[in-house]
Amino acid sequence: MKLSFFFKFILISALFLYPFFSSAGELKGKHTLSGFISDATNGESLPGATVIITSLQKGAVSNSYGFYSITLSPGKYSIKYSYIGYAGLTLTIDLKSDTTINVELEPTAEDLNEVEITGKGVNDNVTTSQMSVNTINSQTIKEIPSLMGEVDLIKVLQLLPGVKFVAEGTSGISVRGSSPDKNLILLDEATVYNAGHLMGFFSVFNNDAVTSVQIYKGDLPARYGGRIASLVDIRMKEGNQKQFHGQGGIGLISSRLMLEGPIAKNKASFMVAGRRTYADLFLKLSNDETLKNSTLYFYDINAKVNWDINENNRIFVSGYFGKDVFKGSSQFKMDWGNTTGTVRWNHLFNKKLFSNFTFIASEFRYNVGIPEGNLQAFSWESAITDYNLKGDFTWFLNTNNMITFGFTSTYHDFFPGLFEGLGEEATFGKYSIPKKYSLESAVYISNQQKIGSLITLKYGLRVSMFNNIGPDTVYNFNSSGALMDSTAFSSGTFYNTYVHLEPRLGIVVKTSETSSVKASYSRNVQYLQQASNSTAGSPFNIWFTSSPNIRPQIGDQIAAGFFKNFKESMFETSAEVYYKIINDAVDFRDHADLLLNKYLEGEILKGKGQAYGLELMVKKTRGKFTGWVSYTWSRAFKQIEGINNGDPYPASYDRPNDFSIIVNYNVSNTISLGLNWVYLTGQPVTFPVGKFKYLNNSVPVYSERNSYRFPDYHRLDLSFTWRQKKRPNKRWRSSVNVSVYNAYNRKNPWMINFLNDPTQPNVTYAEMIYLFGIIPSVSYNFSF
Amino acid sequence: MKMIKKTYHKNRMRRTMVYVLLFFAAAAWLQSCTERIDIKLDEEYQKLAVAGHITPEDQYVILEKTGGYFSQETPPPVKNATVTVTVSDNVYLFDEDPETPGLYLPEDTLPTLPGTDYKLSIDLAETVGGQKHFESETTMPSLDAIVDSIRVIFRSDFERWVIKLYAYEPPGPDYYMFTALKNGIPMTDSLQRIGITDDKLVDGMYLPGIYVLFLYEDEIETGDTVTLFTSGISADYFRFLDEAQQELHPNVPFFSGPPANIRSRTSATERWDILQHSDLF
Repeated sequence: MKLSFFFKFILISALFLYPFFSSAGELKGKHTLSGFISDATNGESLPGATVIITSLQKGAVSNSYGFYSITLSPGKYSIKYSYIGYAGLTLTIDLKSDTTINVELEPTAEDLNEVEITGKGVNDNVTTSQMSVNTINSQTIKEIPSLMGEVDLIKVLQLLPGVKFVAEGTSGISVRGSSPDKNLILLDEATVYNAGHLMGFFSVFNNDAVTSVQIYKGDLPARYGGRIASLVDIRMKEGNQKQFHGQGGIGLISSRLMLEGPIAKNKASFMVAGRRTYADLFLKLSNDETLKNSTLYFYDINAKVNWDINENNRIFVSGYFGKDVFKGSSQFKMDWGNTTGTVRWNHLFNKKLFSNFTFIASEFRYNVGIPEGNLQAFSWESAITDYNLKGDFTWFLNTNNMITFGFTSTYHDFFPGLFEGLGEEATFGKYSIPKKYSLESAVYISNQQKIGSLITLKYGLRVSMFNNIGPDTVYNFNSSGALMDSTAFSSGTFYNTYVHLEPRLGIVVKTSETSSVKASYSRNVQYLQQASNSTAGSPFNIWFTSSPNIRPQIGDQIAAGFFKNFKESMFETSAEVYYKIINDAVDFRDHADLLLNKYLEGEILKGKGQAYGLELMVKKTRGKFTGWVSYTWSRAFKQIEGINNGDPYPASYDRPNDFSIIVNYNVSNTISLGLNWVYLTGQPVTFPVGKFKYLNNSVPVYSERNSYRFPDYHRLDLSFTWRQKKRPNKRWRSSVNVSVYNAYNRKNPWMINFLNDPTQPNVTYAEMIYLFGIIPSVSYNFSF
Repeated sequence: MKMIKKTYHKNRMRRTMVYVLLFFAAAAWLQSCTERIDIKLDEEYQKLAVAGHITPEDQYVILEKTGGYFSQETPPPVKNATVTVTVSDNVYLFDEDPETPGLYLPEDTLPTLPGTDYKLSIDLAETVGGQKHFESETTMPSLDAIVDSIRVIFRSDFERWVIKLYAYEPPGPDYYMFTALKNGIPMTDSLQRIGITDDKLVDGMYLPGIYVLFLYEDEIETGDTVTLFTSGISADYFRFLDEAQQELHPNVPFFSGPPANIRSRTSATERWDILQHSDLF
């Protein structure tokens, strides 16, 4: 029944679109102007650039590959191409037939004296129908003070309104009160299941290899889905098509190098970047034998090749490989890492119909163990593998309608875990949790429609489908989570299917040339979730899928906002309110056994979640001073039968007040200063409110879930950057960055433990663990 | 061999491994970054704490109120309660010990054969935590593991003595508790020091010397006699001990879920120490 509905939707969509396809490019008496917009210095695409027909005051915006298309009546037109931080370009054309004009725009931020913090068209934030979205480019990320000198784009996202860190110093994010597993993190379209290195203290994204990051806070474009809270869309550099270029740096923690250049000038290019930490090299100098014989490092490699085959076809191949390695002196070892690969083919069916076909493979794997030959030798491994095929189409129907549609299908192969003793005298047996197979698919269609000069509508529908595939054994549990019985399914059986409609709606009403009111509604359905034994960042988490026992989580979000720019977009301001409700929200029983548990589903409780808030932001996008100030007031609650007597309780990431100031001051062409100050209400937490004696120990009795809070969090970071002057005929330029993290040495609690006093058995006390005092760092960066 | 100070134990290998991970990954961060902090807690919160203990040797029920977390006073006993345990259709009445308020002893000895079902019923003279009546059920487990022998070795890398158990572990889920004596005197006399494990990773195997208890370097010396008790315990009691031990360890966000109450079948904080002893060694 559900399957047939899914296929009916595809059929109806195809029938609906057919007449439009067949007439594409053939609107009577009209011609299409199209092309790609790119950076003149390196050939990188400029997504979101605006193309305005001056006389008509109509235009288009380039898509994520820099492609634009406008259909007009024949005639002479003045066309203005613009993008913040780039010199605008105005061309006059006499449109007599379908015409292709590829445009290259020159950056204006000479010597980085004026660093723009968004890369978008002028007033794009006001006019776009997408709400709750922020874009940051890699240059901005570089300028922001960092922990231990490691520039980290995820930590910059944490400074945006509605986005909070999961635990201090880690690269996990909570968006609008949701847990980190509700964020879809994509690197060149490939899902990254674990975005953290070194227990999450550094993200897996090497900023040198990234061109921009965009975060959508719940109002996802119809072509994306599968997560309730956000989409973090990270794009790797395409590779400089004009000239060979390199950049890199040496820091306290790691060194890195990125090289890019043309393979065939203006036709094909490459980019390759790598970095490695070297803390383990210093461990060898230690007098402590344990440290001396330990190994601890991570590395990652990004690579990308793109090739313009001809005017209508372009291919991108990109990949990421990263790994953390730890070996202790007692033979104990663990390693984990992500591998992703993406092949994309851009194809223009005609001047108005742009397509992108993508094949993606993504894997996250961890191994833990003691090698054979040692006492208690064992191996424990777990992995997630995805294979995804999708097609995305952008159809520039006319100046008022841009239709996007497509399909996606992902085959999930989850290997929850295998633990086995090693060697002939193995102390342990074998405990294996069978693999889980599933298929997650969707078709979608969406239109962005302009009505008059003031109103833009966005309306779309995504139909998602999820199938559990055998072989599998489904366990049935009673209400207290005890195993009742089980049902086995043979290989290849599609034994469970969910189909959901996910409408995505939005409206923008321009109240002036520089201001607008927006509203949106979106439904997102999440079929995968994470069982985490960690309240910080740990690689040893288990992802599990929807099943007959676990219905998918459904998030509905409504949002409204007012957007206003001043001084030709030098100042961008926004105020947004949102309300979000999650059905079938997941939580876990107290003391849930999450790792290596065949009966994990018995540990899961379902209920409702809700979140609401107000997000305010003022951003200065150019000039000597750049940066933003943001304030968020928000609440997030859960209500789960079996927790807190079924009463609502604050979600773990409910932090009502969140204030951030980010300032970058370019003193001169060679010197800039940076400052961040963040303040958040303390994290909700469960504290002991009683105790009882058992076998000579005091055992705590806890309060209702999350009924206390940590002290409020605040921190100041500073940075100083010196850049070498640009010299004629010298390509080598270097810079030195000095950062101070937590400049006033605030002791922000990372954890509060309640302990028995070892000297007085009846005395219990609270002890705070804080991670970071003042942390100065220095890094040397270069480019050529 | 040397003198004893304290023992070290982790109840399951999986958790042992996690703590090893924890040690290496977090030690550098954490050692110098702790500080005592004043926290105001609700000192009025109160629940009933029930300890039911039925073994062939000892049978009793202790009723207490929980105390304030920072309170240094002994938890107040719950007096004048009506306590019964029903086995099959026989109701065994427990009387309060006139010498020890809150301690209830059976008028007749309860049967302790494996598979015996027990139903505990408590009626209080006054409400505790908003409730007067409490009920709970459990079953006497069996101990089917056939113990072969034990060995005590010293692991220089851990700087601990380790008691290794050699035994035949039967197929099917089983739960064990380990306690030890040195020269007839209990060594594992606290919740923190007892050992527990399930058979998840060793089900149906011959156990070729699994580590069941850890003793500090100077805890035993040559000539001492170490006695290991291996007890079969119920799944519920195992879960109670497991969760109670977890709550005794400091939380570290990398590897700890949110702190939580020990799961209980009643609204009281209840524990049933029902176990089946093995032979002595």
